[in-house]
Amino acid sequence: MKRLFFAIWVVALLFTSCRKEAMELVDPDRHYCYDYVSQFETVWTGIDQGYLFWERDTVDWDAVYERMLPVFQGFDARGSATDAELTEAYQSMVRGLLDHHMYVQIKNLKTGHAIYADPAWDEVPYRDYYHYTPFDQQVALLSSMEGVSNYKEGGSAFPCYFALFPGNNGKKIAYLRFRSFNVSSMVNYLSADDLAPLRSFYGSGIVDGVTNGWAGSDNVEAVIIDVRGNGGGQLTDLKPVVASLSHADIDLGYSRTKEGLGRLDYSAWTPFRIERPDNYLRWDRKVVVLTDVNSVSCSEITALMVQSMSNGTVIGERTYGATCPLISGGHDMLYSGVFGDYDRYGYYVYTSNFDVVDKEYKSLEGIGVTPDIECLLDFNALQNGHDNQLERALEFVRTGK
Amino acid sequence: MVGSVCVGKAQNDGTFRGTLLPDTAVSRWSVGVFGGITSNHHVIDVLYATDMKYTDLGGYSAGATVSCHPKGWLSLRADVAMVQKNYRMDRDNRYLPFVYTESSNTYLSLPVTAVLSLGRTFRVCGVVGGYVGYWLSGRREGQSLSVTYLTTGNQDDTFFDEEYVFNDVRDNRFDAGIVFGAALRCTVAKKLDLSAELRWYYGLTDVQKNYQQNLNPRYNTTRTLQFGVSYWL
Repeated sequence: MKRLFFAIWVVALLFTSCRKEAMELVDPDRHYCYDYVSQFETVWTGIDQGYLFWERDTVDWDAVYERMLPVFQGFDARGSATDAELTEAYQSMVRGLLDHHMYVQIKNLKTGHAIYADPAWDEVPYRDYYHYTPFDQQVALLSSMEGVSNYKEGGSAFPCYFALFPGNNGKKIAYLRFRSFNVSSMVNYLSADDLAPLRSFYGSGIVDGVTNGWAGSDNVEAVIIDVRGNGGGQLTDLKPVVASLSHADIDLGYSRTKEGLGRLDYSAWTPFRIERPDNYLRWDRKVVVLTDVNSVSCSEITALMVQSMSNGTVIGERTYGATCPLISGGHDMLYSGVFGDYDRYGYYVYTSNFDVVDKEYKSLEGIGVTPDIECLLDFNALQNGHDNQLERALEFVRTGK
Repeated sequence: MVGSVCVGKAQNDGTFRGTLLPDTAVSRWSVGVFGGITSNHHVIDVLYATDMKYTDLGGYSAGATVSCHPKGWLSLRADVAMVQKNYRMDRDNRYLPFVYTESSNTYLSLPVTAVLSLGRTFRVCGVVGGYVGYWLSGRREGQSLSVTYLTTGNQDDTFFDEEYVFNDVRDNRFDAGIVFGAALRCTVAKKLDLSAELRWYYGLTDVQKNYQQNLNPRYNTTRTLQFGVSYWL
């Protein structure tokens, strides 16, 4: 019996070696690649560990590895790949991924050229209402639209447009459009002329002062923020630019990020709430956001914010579907999101590092924000001098329908 | 350790005499309860994520036990225990000094052990065996980097304290491993023993299912210090 007892001890000690060893993994954020296979494996690994949507995504990423590895081995075997072949290989690799922010940039080791792959390319252009945004044609009409006044446009440093349109009972509808959300970072560097549209809309203190512009004046009954063709920008804009139009904090739902290198290692959900700034516009009038299929990222969050306001309405088209934000250099902080360095390592992957859901934990990534009032762009009307979407927004303000 | 007492019972004259042997089919039995504290080490290689610092956290254990004593120096013991396997993860990153997660995990464990005892009224025991268990529940508390913080600089919405929702794809709720330890016990009354035991639960099952190709394993190693009382039947 004593021998049995000690035998149990020995067996138990032997069992301690039964744990699996840790993986040996390179850091996909910084890895020198000297052949097509190592490029592929590094990009595959970075997405494997840092991609945010594995819990919902239907792509079998392990199967992608098995399917694509022979393709890149073939490139190495013959010592080259054309740019078209490499593009198709990476497009095939990322095909079907939900992340509509994502793009992959790879240096072709043979040609030295950059190639790109983007999962959204396989989805967005195939929507039946897809179109490019005729930004210049649309803004060119602004100054000549019926009843327009106080038209202002910024310079090339920050293309931005402001106008007042006639509203009800002699009041005005303030209109603002800009190409990207970079107001917070640029406002201190812009000339007075560049700032004129923003200041007309928000007042002199767009970022940190008092908002007392047209939008805050008694003579304005509604505002329209036009984010058609707006590719997004900095999250820090959301508070001064959008939440300042709300009379309460805006509760959008929840966000989370990664908390480990496993595909499903997520942090807890925390509230995604945009505070109303102290200098908010103290009013409760209509706020309208005008969207199209090329309203991306911050533009889409803007639409969500306005949709959550009691006085907010989204008009236009279902947006692009890149609703989950990211921060540059995120991989070092969150082990998710953007990784690689094209110039140094020959690869770069742009991808989200915050998963965002609404209050019912529903995600709009890959889907986009559906407008309250759908109004598709009519190119024929545009050719005839009518921006039918903007006209629809004005009609809504004037008629309530 | 409770119920791991040696053979027979302590005699009034200080001797310790085996009275009931297996071949008589009348081995003595004892039952008991125990409770104590745990300290869990979450075993994970963070690989290149070097600013993720995992540290041990305390918890509790409590349970009941039944022992069979076929020999004077050997007993076989089975427990049913609630064991907490808690740990903390901090981000040692200058941009994220506030980010941390404390994970509290409660397991139902069923250890079966052989106990070797030396001594008489006051006895020193060695314990070795195996256990199976089930991850009953979890809780997470901490601070996380949030979009709100990045947007507004406000940390108010970075806090969380919530019941952990298991992910059926990732979380392996089955737990098994080996258990070993040492105990001191003494007979304080005719049928009553008190014990103190230091025990290691050495998990051999990854807390994650094998759900992806490049899976970095995670294990728990849990130390418990528990005190018990047992009653001879």
